[in-house]
Amino acid sequence: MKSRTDSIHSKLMNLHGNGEPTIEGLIRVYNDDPDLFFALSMEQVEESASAWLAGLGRLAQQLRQMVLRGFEIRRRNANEGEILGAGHTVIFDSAMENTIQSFMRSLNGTAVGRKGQDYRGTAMSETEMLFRLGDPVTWAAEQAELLKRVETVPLVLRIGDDDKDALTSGTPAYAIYSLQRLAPRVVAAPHSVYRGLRQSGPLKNGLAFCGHPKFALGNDAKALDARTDNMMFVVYADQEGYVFDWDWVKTDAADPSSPHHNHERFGERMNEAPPAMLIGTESLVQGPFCPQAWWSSRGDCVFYYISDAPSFAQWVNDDLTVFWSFADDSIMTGCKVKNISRLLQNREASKAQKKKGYLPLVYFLGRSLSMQSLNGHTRHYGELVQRAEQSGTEVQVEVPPQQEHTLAGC
Amino acid sequence: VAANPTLTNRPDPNSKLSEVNRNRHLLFVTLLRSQIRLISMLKTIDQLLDDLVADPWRQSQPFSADMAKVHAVLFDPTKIRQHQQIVLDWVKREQPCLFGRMAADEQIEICILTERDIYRGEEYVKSVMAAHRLQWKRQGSVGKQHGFIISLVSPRIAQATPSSELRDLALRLLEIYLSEQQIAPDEIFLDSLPLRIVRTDGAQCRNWSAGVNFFGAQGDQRWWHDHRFPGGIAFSMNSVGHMTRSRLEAALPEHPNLQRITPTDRLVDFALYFAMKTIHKASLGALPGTKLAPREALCVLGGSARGSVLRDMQAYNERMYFGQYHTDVTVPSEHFDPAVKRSTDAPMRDLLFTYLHDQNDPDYGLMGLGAEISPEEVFAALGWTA
Repeated sequence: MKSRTDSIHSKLMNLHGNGEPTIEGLIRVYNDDPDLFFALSMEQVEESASAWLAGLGRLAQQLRQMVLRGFEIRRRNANEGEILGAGHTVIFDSAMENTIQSFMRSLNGTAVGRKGQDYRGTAMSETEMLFRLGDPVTWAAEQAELLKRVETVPLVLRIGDDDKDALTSGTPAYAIYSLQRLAPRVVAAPHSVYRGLRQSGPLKNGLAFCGHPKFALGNDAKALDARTDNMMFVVYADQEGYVFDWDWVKTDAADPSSPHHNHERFGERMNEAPPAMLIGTESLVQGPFCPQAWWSSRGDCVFYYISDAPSFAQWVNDDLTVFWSFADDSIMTGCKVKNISRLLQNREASKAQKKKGYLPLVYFLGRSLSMQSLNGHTRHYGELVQRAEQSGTEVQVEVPPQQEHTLAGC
Repeated sequence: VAANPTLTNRPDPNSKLSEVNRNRHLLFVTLLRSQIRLISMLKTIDQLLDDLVADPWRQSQPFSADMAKVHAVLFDPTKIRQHQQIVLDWVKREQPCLFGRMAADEQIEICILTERDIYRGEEYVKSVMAAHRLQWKRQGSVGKQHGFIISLVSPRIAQATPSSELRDLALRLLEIYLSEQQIAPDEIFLDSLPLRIVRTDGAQCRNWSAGVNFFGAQGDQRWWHDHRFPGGIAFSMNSVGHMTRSRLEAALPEHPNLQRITPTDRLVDFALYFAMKTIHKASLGALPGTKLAPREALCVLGGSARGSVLRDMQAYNERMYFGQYHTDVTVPSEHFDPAVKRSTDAPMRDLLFTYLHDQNDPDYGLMGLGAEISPEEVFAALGWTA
């Protein structure tokens, strides 16, 4: 190897002498002797050979990695451009932009503006071919990695039909746009995933996908001018993969990849995010907003929207989350009352025994308050009860027959 | 997976624009397009995906049965293991390009991207495409693969209306794939594919340019039906020259007569028949984008060679054909017009077959052919079936 390095060094010295190891220098090498350039990019030049040669070799190797992994050429500032790729950045004088682009195309084996194909092909050297194909030692492992990607079946998340009906019948438009545009991004590329949304019941193995979309959405589907840098978007799914809730929440001050209160809210943080995707949201069309409450069987919760002001969520306790307006975080816009089956005491009832009926929202808020009073978590209930009472809001839920009787006069 | 002939623009005799006005008009259109692109260039590929609007025409005109069948599998993420095969099966059955059909058995590398990949960011999309591109080139270097398809599969994209938004999404995907700074529509972009040729008397490496062409589900039942593709949008990279040469090299041990043709490059000329068949087949559909031209005086290939090389295509012109769009262009802007039928004023273009055979070339492979080897033997050796 030493002799080969010496040979490259000697050729380079004859061609170019010593100097700074720059991309301009490499282009000169390439133009004079392409094979010398290709050899340099594949040779582990020993540091002792020459600082110039070692620097030039490193640069050539970086360019080869960029060609193999993809790169981007862009303006850095008024005077400089940069080539980014494979974890490397190579800076050049912006006056050379066209030269750099043409050089990189040549290395990359691409061309623009020429007509047709050369159907007879052109001769190329073995070193150039190796430059373009990468180190054969890695081929098998890289092929196996590709195969793994193609064979990995993702966890498919969906929206249940009941929830779809409720969503399109008066839920704020921003909630639907957020589901369509933000939730799929977070599910596909979460910053953290938690298992265990409740301490017991069907949601014990539910998942929370937490991520950082670039912005929140308003009721016109456009980006809101709201601060979300200290927030993250969370998508909640039951163990069968049905998404029943999604909202912006504040991040944990100590760990920006996790939501605030994650220790109280969730079971375990998963070491590796499961490959997942959310489908079937594109057909949802929002209806006119209607202040109302609706029950999500899968989420075992009741959503109550007082207004359609785009909002974020704040976890209050195991049974209550409240919504606050992005525009003014002192304005409460609604809430989510959780663990409805526990509040109704009908967790043990079978599906066949249950019957749909309307109950006042105040009933759930009152039950929740009485349970949480024991824990001392009574904030926000007063305002919600007042709102629910004034509006006379009712919720259609499934209850077992005996409880229906018990609740008749509530 | 289309053939890539070269273009000559036929002057439109009905046009009232002088040459100067036409140039001004072109400059204006180019400037307008570049300004519009500048705005969309600020967006990442996932944001461009959000800009798509559903195609109202498609709601009343469902996809053809063959496309719908593929969609049922492609749009089901739990069937991900079947995705590559169902697309390749479709190419084999439904693609008008005979070279593409022949390669679809196992000689096409395919990279299927989904919305999930898009949401994982441009760096991830780049890494996936680059990995498949490398795989294509590596397999190509040993003659195992010739074509490469990148397909962005999404119900939203498949159902999107042809528009500037869809065009910008396609251009951004292409920019990431080719590592290009800015790609404009109506230009020709090429990738390349190498081949290591090893014979008893030595080894050599050759490199072929591979045309890059846009395809889209929007083409289904529109005037550019022959460039439709199931699932969303797609780019095809292929090299007929590479395919021909590598098949020849593989066939040599069993067909030593092939060595009589020297230089070996001439064998690529035999691809002409299949290129003509491809155009002819596409022209028989309800919405042909291209069609063969009648034979003319400049067609010098004659005698028994004409019949044996062009077979049932001998009545047609082997120099040029007509196209409603430039088949070399990577992303034709016409494909992003929602019109279902091509405007009747739009001029047809003269497109040349001479990319496959240059009759001025002293090594022109189709002349004096019978003396060396019969076309049937070449076709059989190369596994070419029409």
